Amino acid sequence: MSRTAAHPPSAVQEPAARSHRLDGLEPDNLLAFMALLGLLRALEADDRTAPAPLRPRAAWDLDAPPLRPVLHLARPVTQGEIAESAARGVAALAAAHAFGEVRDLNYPRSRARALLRQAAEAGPGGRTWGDLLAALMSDAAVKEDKNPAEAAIDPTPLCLLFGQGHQHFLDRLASVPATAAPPPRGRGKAAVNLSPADCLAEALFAPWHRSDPTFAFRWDPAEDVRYALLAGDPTDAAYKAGTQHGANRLAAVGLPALTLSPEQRGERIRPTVLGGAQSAEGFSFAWPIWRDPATLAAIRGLLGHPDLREPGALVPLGIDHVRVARRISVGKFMNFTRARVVGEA
Amino acid sequence: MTLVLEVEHLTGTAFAALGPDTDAPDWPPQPDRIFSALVASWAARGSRDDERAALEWLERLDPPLIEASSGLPRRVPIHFVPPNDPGTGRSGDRSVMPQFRRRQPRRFPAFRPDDPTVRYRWCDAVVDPATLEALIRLAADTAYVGHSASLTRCRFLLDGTDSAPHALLPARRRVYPGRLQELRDGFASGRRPRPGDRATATLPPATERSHSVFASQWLLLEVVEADDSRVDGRPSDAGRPRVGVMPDLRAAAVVAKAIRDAVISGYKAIGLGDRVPALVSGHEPDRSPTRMPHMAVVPLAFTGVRHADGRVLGFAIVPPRGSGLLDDADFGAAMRALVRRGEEGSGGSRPVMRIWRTAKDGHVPFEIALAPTLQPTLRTLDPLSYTAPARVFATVTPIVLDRHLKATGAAKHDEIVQGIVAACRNIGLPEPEMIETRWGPRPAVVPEKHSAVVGAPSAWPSGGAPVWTRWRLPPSLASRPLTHAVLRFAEPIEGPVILGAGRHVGLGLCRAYPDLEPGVER
Repeated sequence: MSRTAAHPPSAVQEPAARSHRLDGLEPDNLLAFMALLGLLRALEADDRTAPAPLRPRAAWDLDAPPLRPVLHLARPVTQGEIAESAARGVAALAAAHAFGEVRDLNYPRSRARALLRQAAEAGPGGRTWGDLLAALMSDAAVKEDKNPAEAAIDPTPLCLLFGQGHQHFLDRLASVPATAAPPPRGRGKAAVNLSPADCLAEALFAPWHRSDPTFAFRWDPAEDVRYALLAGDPTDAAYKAGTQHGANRLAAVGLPALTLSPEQRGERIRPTVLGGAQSAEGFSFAWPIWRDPATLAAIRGLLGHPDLREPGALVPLGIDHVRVARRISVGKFMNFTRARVVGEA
Repeated sequence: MTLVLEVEHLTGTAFAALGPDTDAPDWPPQPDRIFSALVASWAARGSRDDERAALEWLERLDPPLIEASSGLPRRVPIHFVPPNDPGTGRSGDRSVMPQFRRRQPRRFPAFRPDDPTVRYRWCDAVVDPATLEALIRLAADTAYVGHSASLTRCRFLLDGTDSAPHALLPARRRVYPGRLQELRDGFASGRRPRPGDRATATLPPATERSHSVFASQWLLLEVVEADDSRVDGRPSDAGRPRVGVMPDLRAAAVVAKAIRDAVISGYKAIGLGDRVPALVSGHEPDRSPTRMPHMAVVPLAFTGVRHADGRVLGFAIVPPRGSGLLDDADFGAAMRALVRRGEEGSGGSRPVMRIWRTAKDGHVPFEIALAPTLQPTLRTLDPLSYTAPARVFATVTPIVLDRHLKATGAAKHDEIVQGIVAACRNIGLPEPEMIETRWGPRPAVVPEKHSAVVGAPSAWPSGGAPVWTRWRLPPSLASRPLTHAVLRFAEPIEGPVILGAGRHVGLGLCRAYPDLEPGVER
């Protein structure tokens, strides 16, 4: 592992083990949960070419507060090796995140249909591209328009960027995973360069510092910076919050795990995603907190369970509880709240 | 010994939000919030090592049980607040002056507890004197918890008793080893700390309390209008009367019966007129009175506090315990058939049901509008005043005795007491405790003309008072004797306590009363 950081994360100092607690991933943070999905997806992607696969699974450590996920692997490895494997996997998956000149998720229906058909006909080789498109849009769910054939697609409810404040979703979905590491921290000789693996290790194994000047997707509840809740002007550089780049990289490649599907609501066909639901209060995303190690496929199965939001309904499946984050509007921007436990205040 | 942290909210209000995206107050304040307040005190006191060690000891304990009263959340309007310290970079810019600063919307969720003191109990915690001393010092300097407007008095103490005036609640959030360091790191980097971890603590096994046949989950009917516009005593037009003044508490039984009749008419409106369940109508299909517990309708009057005047602010439908009536689909449909969206001046857009009574001559004695709700907006409408566990209960509305009195003189008093004791048995309660009197052991029941509850009218008017100042009873109860009473049970029992032959129309309704026995904490 190439290291140039002046303050290396503690990852490499940890001994090799088959289980690793992910101290950076908080249970009530949507970005952290999507980063967990991205981690599993990236490790599985790297496993396809690795001589000794890691076969990653994840569970939540319910016995040692604070609640955090634990990564379970098929063989003992160090945290550094996990980060390197994940970095290779993210790089492989990020290659599919190419949208050309399109910056916002507003394809016309005909174009979306053509892209989806193209991905479906590409066979196994186009699976990554197909998964990504299937998580972003469906040609069945479009916005109201006089010409339905050319109506813009109704994007995934996890898309919070539509160009407001010069924030473009596809732009970021392409650039964030392709940016292997944040810019050097500090200036001159004191500057710290992080490798791609360091960047991911920071996000996974240590509390987040959110000091990277990189782009994000507004999935982190800490990005809800309302003027009246701060001591200073949130647009002032002194108060402007940074991001945790490694978490956003992982979350960007985790998004394709949340496949979109069209559903009928009233007279219209609207998009929904695994774990998502629309109610009178707006869109919300729920995820379970499970006890036993589960693969990405098993987690996706749990997210799609029809009783996911019924308090206590999934206890026989090893689910301790379920958390829900609501999508909220703050002025012209949108954010996700910290997730609350289903059935509690 | 139990380590107790006592937190008294000095203004009687706790300002604390569950999060920036919600209007819900955080009540009772959770242990992670209290811990943060203690950490702030530690830092303000100079970050002493012995006090840090005490906090690190405290964060390793299991979550405490929280002893807190109920109360009501305060309404949460939007306040527009000036942001702090705007820096414009221009000299002479008046927009930095407080009067000219921009305003940003913000809410301040708050909770008004019935009792401002909350106690956090760490049962069986073994604390050494030095640690306890350090915690006491930290608590003494903790001037607020949550928002800085939540002024508090805090103290740690060791408590050897198990008595708890209020319900013990499990903590929803907790701290954990490393929380102090996490808070320090967050503060150093200028980040808002995330809430504590979810707690999964459980309550010690609760003692099964005695309870009556009535449920403690009520459907509230809030009076949404008191309009004096109706002066002629007649509906404004056929079938659509105007809403009038809420009758006095002394006519509550008549109104309660009208509400029950309205519910039955709701069943008829949905085509179930011949299948009204006995637990609603009180009658079997053959029209004979049912022997099973059935629905009661009780008045909720402004009583029991200083300045109370006995005004009726609502009614409540009290289902039999375990009947599941409020979850029954037919009952819900019948209620929906009764309600409609309110008009301007009659509850706004809230669904309301209109209740009125028409006499044989067409006269309309009363017309009222009630809004069904499960969330009371007034403390008077909170069922907890009637359902909270207590040893002593006092009547708000007089008990209608089940039998006519035959004895006279001193024996009459005993007959009334025995009638009240029998009324307790009739609703599944234990008999009031026996106490020693100069006449030997007697039930702890004090019948009296006047109510012990402030604001409740007497059981009968003074001599010479007009007839219309008496309690108005349905014809089937009109000749029965009435009495107020105070009762004391040997152990706390769970309310509601509704006694006597008029219990289904709101007579004999009792509310918990302070236990004045010497040596028993109020």
